[in-house]
Amino acid sequence: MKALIIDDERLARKELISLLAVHEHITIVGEAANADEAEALIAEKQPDLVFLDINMPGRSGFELLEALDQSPQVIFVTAYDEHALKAFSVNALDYLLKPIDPQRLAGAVAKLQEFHAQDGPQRELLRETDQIFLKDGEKCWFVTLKDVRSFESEGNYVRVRFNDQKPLVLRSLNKLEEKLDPLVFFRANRKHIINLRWVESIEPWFSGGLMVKLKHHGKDGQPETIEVSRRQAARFKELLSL
Amino acid sequence: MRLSFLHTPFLNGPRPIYWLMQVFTWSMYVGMFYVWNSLNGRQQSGIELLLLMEVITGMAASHLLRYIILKKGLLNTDIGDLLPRLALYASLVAIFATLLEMALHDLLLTGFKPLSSEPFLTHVNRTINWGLLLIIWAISYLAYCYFIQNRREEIRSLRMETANRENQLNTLRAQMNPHFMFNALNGIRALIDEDPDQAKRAITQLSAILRNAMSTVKRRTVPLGEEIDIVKAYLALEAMRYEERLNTRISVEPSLERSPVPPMLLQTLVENAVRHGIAHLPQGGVLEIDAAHSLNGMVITVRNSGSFKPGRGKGSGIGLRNTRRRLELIYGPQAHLDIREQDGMVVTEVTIPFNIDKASIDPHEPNI
Repeated sequence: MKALIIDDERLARKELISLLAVHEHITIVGEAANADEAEALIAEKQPDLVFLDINMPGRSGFELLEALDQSPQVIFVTAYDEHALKAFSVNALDYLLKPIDPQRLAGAVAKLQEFHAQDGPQRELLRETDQIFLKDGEKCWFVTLKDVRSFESEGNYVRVRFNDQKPLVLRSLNKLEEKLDPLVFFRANRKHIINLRWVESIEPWFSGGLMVKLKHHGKDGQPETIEVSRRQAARFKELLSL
Repeated sequence: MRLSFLHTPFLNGPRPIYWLMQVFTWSMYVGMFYVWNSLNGRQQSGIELLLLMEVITGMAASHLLRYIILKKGLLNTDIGDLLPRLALYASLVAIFATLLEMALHDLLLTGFKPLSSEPFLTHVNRTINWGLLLIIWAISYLAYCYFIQNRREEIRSLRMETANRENQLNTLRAQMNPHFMFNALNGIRALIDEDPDQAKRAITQLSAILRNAMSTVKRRTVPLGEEIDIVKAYLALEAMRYEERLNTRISVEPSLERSPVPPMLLQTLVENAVRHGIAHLPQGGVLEIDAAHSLNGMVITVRNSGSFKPGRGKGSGIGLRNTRRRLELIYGPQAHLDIREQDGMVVTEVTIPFNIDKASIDPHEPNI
């Protein structure tokens, strides 16, 4: 498993490397002292796992993750940060406190599932099993794409719907569309991208459009619905008839 | 001893327990009288009504006495002053009780011989009797009040003690700066392999900082030299973490070494400079500390690389506001703190007079 260590303090990186020495299945492929270095290294080395310090000069660890299209597995490392700890506890994300307890490190490493062999060194598209990192205010999530039902554009933001959550994140719907697997994620109209696996039924709608019902019921008990514009309806039928 | 009975709820109106006790004690007293009479074979028809009337008279008189006790503030009087006044009030109320008893008796109990026809000496006798009863009643009542008040005082002082402790703990926690502490410990852990000697030094420096944080909670001022030593230990530990990113320079006029300054004042400013300045610069920066004489005091200046934008980010400005408040509490208007950006550096300047303003309030000794 390829791991990357991101921390602005040399001593902290060194300490983590020496603690990881006993974990033979983890190979450290690089070290970064800030978010910019880290972003370049992640693109280059494609690590499976990153150890990420939250407090860094320049962009924080969270900001780095938000900038990534696809997130590797992440173990957060922090000395003491009340905001971060709150964010972690909301979604039970894995984190380690400095100075790192070797046992807790072993526990966190053991929890990681091994990544399946990759199909090629550089993947163009995000797959259903890929994780993305989302942060809205103080809350943050790692979401597997197959759990996401839809993306909805709201100004410069995108609302992501999964489980019973719908955080608003700073992304562009067009950029997202380019990254997502077109066999799974479909641009239903100007404002929506839907996950085809979540489609329950399709009905004809006004002026040649379609109305799609999703396998998810809102608080009012009604299924979520999204309209497919006339322009996209033909492509949609084509896609489903495959 | 004076006890303060202000703001005690039972002044605003007696509680149900008071009325319960009133009915109980007076019935008991009158009941005993009744039993005594029947044991001596002196049975009269309609005596029950007479006894009820006695109960009512007793309750009315004692309630009036209570009203006077509270109105005249007898609860807050010294014991030497209290007894004669209590005797006076009890006598007056005893006369009232005698008259009330007579009025009720003659108006309601027409079957009995009117009390008003009794000789004068009988009335005096009855008054003395009422007086003694009322004094006993009043003493019991006061004892009860003192008991309640004592318990309240105890609870209050316990609460205050807890609040004080919590306050101290909060101060301590703030001074410990957990983010710094844990990062320093993490660095030391790595140093143990890399450079054991430096690791040892770092532990000594960390102890100095911890010890200082614990002891300064109680101290009002410390010599500047002492404060500078702590700042040096702190900066040495930060330098261990930031390495070449943190460059420091300290210059203090030697004659100022013994001048008193508020503890942790400079330390707080330096921590701010590191946390909000150097820590945000990927390439690091410079931190300079100067202490120099001013007109009738000293000016301490902290300069750090970075930029100052007021009101930016979470929690910014709280540290500065607290420091300003501390300065004002200790020195009054003579001390001030300025922060500004100048030539790519953030400059924090504190002016402190040598003499502590006599009129100012000591924050560590609340005025109770």
